[in-house]
Amino acid sequence: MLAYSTYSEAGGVGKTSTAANLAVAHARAGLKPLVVPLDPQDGNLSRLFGVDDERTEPVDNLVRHMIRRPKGDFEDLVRTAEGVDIVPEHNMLSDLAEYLRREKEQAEAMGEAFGMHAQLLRVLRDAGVPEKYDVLICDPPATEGPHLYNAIHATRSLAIPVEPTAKGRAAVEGLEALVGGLEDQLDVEVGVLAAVPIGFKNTKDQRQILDEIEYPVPEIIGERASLMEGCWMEQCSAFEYVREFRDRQREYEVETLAQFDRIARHLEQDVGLEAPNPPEPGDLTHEVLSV
Amino acid sequence: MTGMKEGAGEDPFAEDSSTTSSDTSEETGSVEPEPIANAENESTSGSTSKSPQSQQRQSMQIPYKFRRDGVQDGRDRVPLFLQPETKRAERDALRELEDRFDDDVSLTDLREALVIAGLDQLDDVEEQLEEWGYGMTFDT
Repeated sequence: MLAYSTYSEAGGVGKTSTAANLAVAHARAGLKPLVVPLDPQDGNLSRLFGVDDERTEPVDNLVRHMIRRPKGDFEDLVRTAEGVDIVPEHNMLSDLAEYLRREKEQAEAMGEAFGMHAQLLRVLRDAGVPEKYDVLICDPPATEGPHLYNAIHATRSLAIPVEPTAKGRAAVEGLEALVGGLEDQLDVEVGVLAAVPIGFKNTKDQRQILDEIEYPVPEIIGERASLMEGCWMEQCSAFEYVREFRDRQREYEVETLAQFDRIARHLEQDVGLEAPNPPEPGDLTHEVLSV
Repeated sequence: MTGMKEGAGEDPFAEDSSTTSSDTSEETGSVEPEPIANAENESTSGSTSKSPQSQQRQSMQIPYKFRRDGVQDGRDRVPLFLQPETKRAERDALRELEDRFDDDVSLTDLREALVIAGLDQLDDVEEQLEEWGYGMTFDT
């Protein structure tokens, strides 16, 4: 299984859009992706796919599973949009740290160990996720804390959308320090599958910053503010938006879709996963084989 | 920037001997997944220090690129510090080789190939080191 977390320290880079569009790109190619977004704030992946309608309701949700208080099966948490399975975010995520801490104290009082950052992996493993899915994408918030730690611990690999700016460079450096600490603390090895520069305008400064990126850069995505904004408006992926909501297809937008397709292939190949039905990159008429 | 590895991290869902179904987990992450290099039922023990070549148990083998699950299989992590012009030259070399193969070439593979090729060219390596000041004597 291909498992990765999208991470970017700076806000507004398009981390969530990247996770969403890559998930759709994997699904288009006939793979089964599961997306686990972990953002405690609104304006996140569940909203983008329109599966966030119960986030304030007292329903079973991922946090309950992580603190061993599930109200039902993991499978029943999953919602599907555009061929992508999603575990919707819930407002209980805001207090995840507190819930985990309490659970840890409770467990330790009983003489058990409770790894606060190992719970997402436990939940996914117990639910048989690696057997049922081909791809796992976690979309954690950028702030350091249990959401991010659980995501990185559960996936061990990262795809990092990067702003090609000095700020973006600082964010990557900050990430390296964070991951280094996390590797030691959790005794795991983390790798970076790809850096995805987004918002590239081909200035000299930007080119220099891109040259400094040490990780594989399968594609460089240009400024696509209008496309991404449209996706949020219509609550769908960029693929769906260009197909359904653009009166005419703009060549550069179709090229961006092709880039998501190619990045998905790059990530799959990195772990030796072969998509059964990969589209011609950017082909909007590609028929998805439903399994 | 030398913080993190390129390519996939370890496989978080790798099976190992410890029970994973228990509802307790150690602070160390409940399991220590083995490296993904278990495509050929070797008993890898955490950190393999074997080079890809030494894993060959038969004379005929599927090439390393197709045998491994990820680009880091069977490799130890070695931090690399490169001068900017070296890094640029490395990137150019990568593009050149990708053109030749008409295929993606992993930077990790390229780097090890460069080292191996360099090991066969110690005279050139010596020259480079001399350029950096090795072998200088200051006798007057």
